[in-house]
Amino acid sequence: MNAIEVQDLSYRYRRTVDALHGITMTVTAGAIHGLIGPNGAGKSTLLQCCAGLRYATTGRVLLSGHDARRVDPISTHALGYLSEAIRLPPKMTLAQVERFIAPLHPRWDAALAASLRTSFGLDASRTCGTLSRGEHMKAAMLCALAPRPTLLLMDEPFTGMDVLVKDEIVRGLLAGALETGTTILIASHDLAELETIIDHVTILGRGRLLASGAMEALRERYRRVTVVAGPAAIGAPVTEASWMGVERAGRRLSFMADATHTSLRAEVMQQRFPDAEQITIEEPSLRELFATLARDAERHTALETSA
Amino acid sequence: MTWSAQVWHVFRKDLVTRWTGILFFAVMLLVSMTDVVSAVETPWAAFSSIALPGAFAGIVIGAIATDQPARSDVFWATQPLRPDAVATAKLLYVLLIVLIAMTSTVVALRYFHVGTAALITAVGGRLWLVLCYAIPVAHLATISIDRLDPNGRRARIVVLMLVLLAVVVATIGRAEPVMQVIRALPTALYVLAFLGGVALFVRSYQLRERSPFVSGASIVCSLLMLASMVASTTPDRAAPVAAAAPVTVDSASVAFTALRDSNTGSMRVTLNHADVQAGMLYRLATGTLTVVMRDGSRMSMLLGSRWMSVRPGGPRQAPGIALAGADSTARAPREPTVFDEIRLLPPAFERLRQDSVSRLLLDWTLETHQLHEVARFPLRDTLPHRDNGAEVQCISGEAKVDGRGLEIEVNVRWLPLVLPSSWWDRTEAMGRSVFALHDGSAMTLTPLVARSFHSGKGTPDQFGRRVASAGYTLRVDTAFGANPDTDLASVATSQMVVAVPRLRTTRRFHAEFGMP
Repeated sequence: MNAIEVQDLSYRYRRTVDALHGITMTVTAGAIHGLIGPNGAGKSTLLQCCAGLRYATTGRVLLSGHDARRVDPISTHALGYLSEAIRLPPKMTLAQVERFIAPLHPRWDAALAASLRTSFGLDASRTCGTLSRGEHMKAAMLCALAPRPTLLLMDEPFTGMDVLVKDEIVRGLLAGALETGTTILIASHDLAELETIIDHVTILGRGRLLASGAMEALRERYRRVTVVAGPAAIGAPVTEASWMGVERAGRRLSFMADATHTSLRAEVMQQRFPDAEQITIEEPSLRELFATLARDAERHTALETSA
Repeated sequence: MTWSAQVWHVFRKDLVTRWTGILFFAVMLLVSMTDVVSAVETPWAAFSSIALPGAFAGIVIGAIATDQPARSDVFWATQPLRPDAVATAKLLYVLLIVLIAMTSTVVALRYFHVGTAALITAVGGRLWLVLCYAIPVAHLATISIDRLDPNGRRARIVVLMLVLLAVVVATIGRAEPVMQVIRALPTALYVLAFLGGVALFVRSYQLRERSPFVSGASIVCSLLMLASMVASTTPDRAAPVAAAAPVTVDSASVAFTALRDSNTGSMRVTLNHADVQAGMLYRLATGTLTVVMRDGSRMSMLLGSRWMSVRPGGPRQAPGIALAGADSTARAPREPTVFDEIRLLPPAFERLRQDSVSRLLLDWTLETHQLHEVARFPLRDTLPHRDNGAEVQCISGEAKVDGRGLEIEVNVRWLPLVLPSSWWDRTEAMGRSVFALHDGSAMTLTPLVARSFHSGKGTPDQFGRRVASAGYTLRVDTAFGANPDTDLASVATSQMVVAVPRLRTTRRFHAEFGMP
């Protein structure tokens, strides 16, 4: 059962700016799914469409099989939404905010709220308008986690948080997800942090889907190739159209390519780099995967634009 | 949580978090109430007329800005709350503020003993006016939501803009061509605009983004509602209400004119005195104003001296004082016409009633007094003088002569002095201060600056047990009333004359003014 199913989703801002182009992806129930992409990739818009905060221009989002546009996702599916853009009521104290939202959530966990408040070092008597950016984010996270949502959408949740708190949250999220089976869709630029918790990932670039699937599958799908040339430097025309993220540094050449591509076969590589001292083919890290796919998408967009 | 429970939940949250703003608004109302029930225009009348709608707009816009209708990044939208429940809660909040404002109106009208039928008419009219202001304010908050932030910093700028807009609308609204257009619009259109405005407000909460159509329609509805408000508050231009035939009192001719200013709701009754006799004092003693409502109920109020305003430079006193052997005519002030003006000052109170007032009945007494000299002594002297049981002391201070005139500080005390009238005011004290010049002629002086003034007021018996004193600076200015031929230096060596008015004639008058 998929917790979220995005079908050919497009979104256009003010009828002029295309934020999303035909996105199709799924988030498996119980998964911790990462959503990554450069600025302006459409991550926040996609999350808002999933939360029912925006309506897609075309396509649809299904939450547990129900169209997000026809039901109120937040009420119907106990959906929690956290975003760095959300501003808690500035005149209310954190205690007042908790008192306000607690009755709205049938699964509100007061003990968890108290525990998070303590671990985040938040003062419940302070008004939200006086909280620093990091404190505000922590308070917002408390408000998103304490209702014990079955589906949690998080947009840049680690903004303004120090390493220790980040670590605590990551551990808390993992523990919570394991305990309650919460599905988490999390968008973040903090790839190092994200890589430790997600089991699925979707990469967006300029509103388009670049890749989506289980982390292991994606890593299996791509390979990072590093070639160290012999005394004679690597010649210029050695790249192929299927190679992505080609980088040269002295005698060293690295690129990423589809693992199934024939150019990665050992004999082909040997033929192409006969003088190579060393050829390494390995699984890419999330950061490498993201950076390469995003740059490749940028390059293609630039080519399309110039054409 | 059910829909109604959500409405109550959000409404209660707004009350809890915005109570300081509501309290401030209530205080502002209380301040404005003192202006309404007070007989005189209070110093903060102008302030509260701007601050009150400003405070109103502030707390309404603040509440809406906190839970904005645009849904992409507002906190309430991330909670399991129904948009129409939030919109209804906001409308309830606006209505609560309106009801608080209306409570003050009802209290003010009950204070004036307005009958039930007239009360319902007045409250209904006022409620419509306040709603015609409240809904556009709420719309302003929703349609400018992209420019508002939850902290309310930008909201304050919007409030300021709103007040400026109200001033502009009020100014434009007074232009007759605009008023003709506004009055020509059918009432049903205003009602439709109101209902449409409420529907658009609720609709704006259900949208995920701002809709240009909803925003445009909201602006149209708001303008129509504001037009209705302007049309209701400026029914007519100022026009003469009535003019009674002149009457003769002790050879002086007194003409009455009344002018009602519909914009301010005030009425001015002017008594123009002509051919006044020298040495005579014409004064309004008492008056009663009866307000007749359209349902037949009536209420009366006593007009005291506080209801009268005297134009500076126009004392209610005949020029000159008849002094033995003195020629007062030659030294008389240059403006021999004197007048009284009664400013019926229920501007707020009459505005509250709108069309509920049918007629105004005015009964008053005009007294003429003959001034009699009771003391004469040189300046720079303290001279007890007894007259009719009253001891008069005059203590003069320094006299300074400069290029343009003469300034003398004078303190006068009457111990005790039974005045022949009910009221004691500054103009009476001034009226008795006359200088006799060294050549034997007299000159009435009009003090430009009165300081440390103290007087009592009440019935003659009460007043008779008091010590009255007046201390003021007399300035004889060649440009103001004094004979330019007067040798100012000689005034310093002149004598001070104190005169006491004695009742000569009492005449009662009655006038009736129908409301236009």
